[in-house]
Amino acid sequence: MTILRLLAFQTHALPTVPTPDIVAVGIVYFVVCAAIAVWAARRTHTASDFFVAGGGIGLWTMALAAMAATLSGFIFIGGPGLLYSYGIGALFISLSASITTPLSAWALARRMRLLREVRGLMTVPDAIGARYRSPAAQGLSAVAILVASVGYIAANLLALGWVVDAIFHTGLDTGIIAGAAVVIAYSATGGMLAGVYTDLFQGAIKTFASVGIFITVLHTGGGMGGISRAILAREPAFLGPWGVLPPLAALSYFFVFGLGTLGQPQVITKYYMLKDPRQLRWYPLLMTVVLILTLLLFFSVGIGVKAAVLNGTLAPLAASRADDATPMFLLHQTAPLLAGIVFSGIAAAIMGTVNAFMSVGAAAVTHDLPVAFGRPVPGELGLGRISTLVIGVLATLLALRSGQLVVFLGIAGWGLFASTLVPALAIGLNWTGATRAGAIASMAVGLAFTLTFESLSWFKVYKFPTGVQNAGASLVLSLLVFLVVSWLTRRHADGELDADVRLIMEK
Amino acid sequence: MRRAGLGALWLGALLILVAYATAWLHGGAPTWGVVAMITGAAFTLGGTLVLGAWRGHNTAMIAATAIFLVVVVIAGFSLPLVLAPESSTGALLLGLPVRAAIEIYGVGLLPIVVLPFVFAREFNTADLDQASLAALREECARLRAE
Repeated sequence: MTILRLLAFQTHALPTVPTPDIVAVGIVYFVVCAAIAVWAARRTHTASDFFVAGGGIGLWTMALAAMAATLSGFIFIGGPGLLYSYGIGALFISLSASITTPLSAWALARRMRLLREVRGLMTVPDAIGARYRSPAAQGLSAVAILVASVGYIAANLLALGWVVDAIFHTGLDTGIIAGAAVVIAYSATGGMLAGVYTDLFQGAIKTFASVGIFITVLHTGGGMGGISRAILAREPAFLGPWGVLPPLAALSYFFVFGLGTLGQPQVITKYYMLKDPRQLRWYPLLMTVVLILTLLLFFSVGIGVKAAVLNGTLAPLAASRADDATPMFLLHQTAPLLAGIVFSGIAAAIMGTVNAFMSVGAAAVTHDLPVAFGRPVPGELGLGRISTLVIGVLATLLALRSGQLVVFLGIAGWGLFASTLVPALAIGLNWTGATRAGAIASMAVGLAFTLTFESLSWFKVYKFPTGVQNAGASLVLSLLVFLVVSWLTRRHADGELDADVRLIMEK
Repeated sequence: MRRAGLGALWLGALLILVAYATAWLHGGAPTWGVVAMITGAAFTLGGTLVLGAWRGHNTAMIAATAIFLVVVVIAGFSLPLVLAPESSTGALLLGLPVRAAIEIYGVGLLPIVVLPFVFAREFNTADLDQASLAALREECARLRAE
């Protein structure tokens, strides 16, 4: 299994479902998104409004927006398909969900929020530049974010095209263009302000849809015990501790997603946005509860469809069509209204992720790279809008024209974030012994290793043995390089740390 | 305490590297390679928690929380390695076979009743009101000017 399936980029058509109820829910959903965009665009006056929602959002908005940015269409489509194919082992992707948010909050929340307070920071590369007093480190992290964002956006727009096609029966190209037009419109006009409030709406839909589906699965499957018994009778390995995956592969997912999540810029940028930093106190609890509720769909559909297939209630899915698990369940086992909400939830999940990446990508172009080169630009708001538009159009063209290459770009993106940002930022903001050389070496190794081995794997030149994922190997290698080089250059550590940043790191 | 966190991070990363290296062995990763992966993942998460959470005054609480996390991850993934496979008519634990239940309820859900509450308990809001933030901005500006 490749990380392609792991990240669940949709690569083929979903079963089409243009029933009147589903189409109506889909139209209402897109109209609400457009209304929020118009509202937000009128309130976006500064670069801070555009990139970090003016630093003025509340706790619930932050938690739901962070959840929406964390979980792309994966939980609705790829995740259940993966679980249907590989059993419990596939669940290891999300098994760290109750750990990662508290961990991220401990490592990053207070430090990033206070850095914004005293230095007015807006981006993740800003924080890296401030931590190491290094434009080079800031620039390198911005390059990694930009490369990863464009690929990730393109891959998600391809998935969005399939979803729009499934709801409205538009065809893939029209689906990509229509979906991209909506998300580019609200991202370029309302920026992150539009993003977080559409995420609030989208996050609520996702959570509601997931809980509804979970209850439906339990009801139709005879409870959790009934589902388990049905599977154990015919395919016990599916419910074994690693499913049908080798243990090392399952555990590797737990490690990659457990630690790698601390380097996802579209999520951790939210720490800059909370109006009252005292509310961070309850952020991990709220975010974790919402995250786990939303992940219920991933778990329940994957396991519920397997039981239904083994019981003969549903027809078996072809091995290459496991991602049809959710659409098939919706079409055959749920009420049309709930199906419509879930399909809108899928679009919501993808659009929330795309918007967040457009924002961090545009910030890299208009803010981080110019700062890294010592030439900050005036008028970041206008340039931010133009950059968002350009990144969106570029990603749309990639999604339309580059075929499967776009999926490769998306795959490399997630690994790039983890390997380039976790050591330098999540560890570096908590260890005064970290050095500029350590951070730069770690980011360079993460960048080179990820791109090299993802390319070799994609073009079938070389693949790691079963159980070793490129993202995991890259993350652990960049972490070790960060620790070793920082230790070797430790005599520079004190001199490279500004006194105000040190003060914040000690809080 | 910070040294312990860094040590756990070092050890965890090295164990994961070793675990990955065992994948090249004939027949794939042996059981000890899997145990190295489990321990490595637990230590990297525990070490990161200590580095992020410990700020000099809360040693006992943070040490206990980190130990809890490491033990939950190691026990939650190691027990399924040693427990016998379930039969199709065997007992279920909250609707799941025992080994899967240990992983899902133990590693997947148990931390939510501990980690967010420890975070909330340890999160100091006293220095985050408007007056304190203004004082911090002044202090940092003074430090930058020096």
